[in-house]
Amino acid sequence: MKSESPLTPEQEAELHRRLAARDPVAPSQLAKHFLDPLAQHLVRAKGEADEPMCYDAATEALFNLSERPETCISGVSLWNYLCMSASRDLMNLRRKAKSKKGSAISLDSVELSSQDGKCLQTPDFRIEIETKEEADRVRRHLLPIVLQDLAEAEQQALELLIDRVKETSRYAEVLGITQLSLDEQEKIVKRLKDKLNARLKRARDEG
Amino acid sequence: MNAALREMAKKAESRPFYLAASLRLYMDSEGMNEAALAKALGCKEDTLAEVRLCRAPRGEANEFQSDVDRIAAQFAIHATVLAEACRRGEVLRKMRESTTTDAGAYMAARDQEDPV
Repeated sequence: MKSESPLTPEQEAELHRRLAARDPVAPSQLAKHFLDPLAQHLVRAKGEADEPMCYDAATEALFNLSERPETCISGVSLWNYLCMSASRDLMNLRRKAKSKKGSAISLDSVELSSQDGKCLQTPDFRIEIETKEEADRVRRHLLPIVLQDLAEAEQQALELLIDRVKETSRYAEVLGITQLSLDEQEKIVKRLKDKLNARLKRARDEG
Repeated sequence: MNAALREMAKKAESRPFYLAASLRLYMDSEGMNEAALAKALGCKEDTLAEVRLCRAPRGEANEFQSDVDRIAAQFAIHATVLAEACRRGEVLRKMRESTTTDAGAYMAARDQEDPV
């Protein structure tokens, strides 16, 4: 589950700076460096999704970051931001695919997207997103606040939380605490979930 | 050959932000395929996918030339061919948008004129 950026933090920061400065070559280099690793991260992390769909989601996330680099604020890893963004896009694609097969999509099950999302939610938290403008606002203001200063493992845990993963073992795995007793794992995971939910609520109020 | 990057470049053709959008219109107007464009630019097809994923040059004359030169230098391609392809593609895109808008306005006007 745990994966690493193909670039060093310094290289990421430089690429982000060039995206923001409208260097015409920067979007191409972003794609060249991140497309395969990002899609493969999704394949590993979301085993049930097929590989072409993972590439579609990775592509969408890279398009969005290239066109709106300001959505990833300084200090947040491009890699972690892209993983979060691509995960959201993948969930939307999967739901759209299911919808095409005839199952109706309930509003509750639609996730955040810059294109046509309806809500961002965890089991304890929910933000309605009725319009594209609202989705853009969440991407620009809310996610950066939520992600700021979170450790990579915490960002991966947030990803699980938004995916509505319930198993403590999945959180323990990304946090690297599987060697602890189950009781201790549950306490640590509960504390982290509380922290992440509180951060989401604060971001909603501030964003 | 990075098939995924080429596929991404193809998807970028529908996004005016990317050079791919202008280059697609240019290729269509010239009846060219990707191999022919790559040859005209002086690069391999794999490199062309990376070129197409660059941001489209900005519209102001000095910025346009600066962006074209930056892309041409990065990929060692012919700047004059790239500039011509970008300009032509951009003109075609604007004409297409204008035609679509005019057609929409015309149809809306007709809808209002037609007796119910």
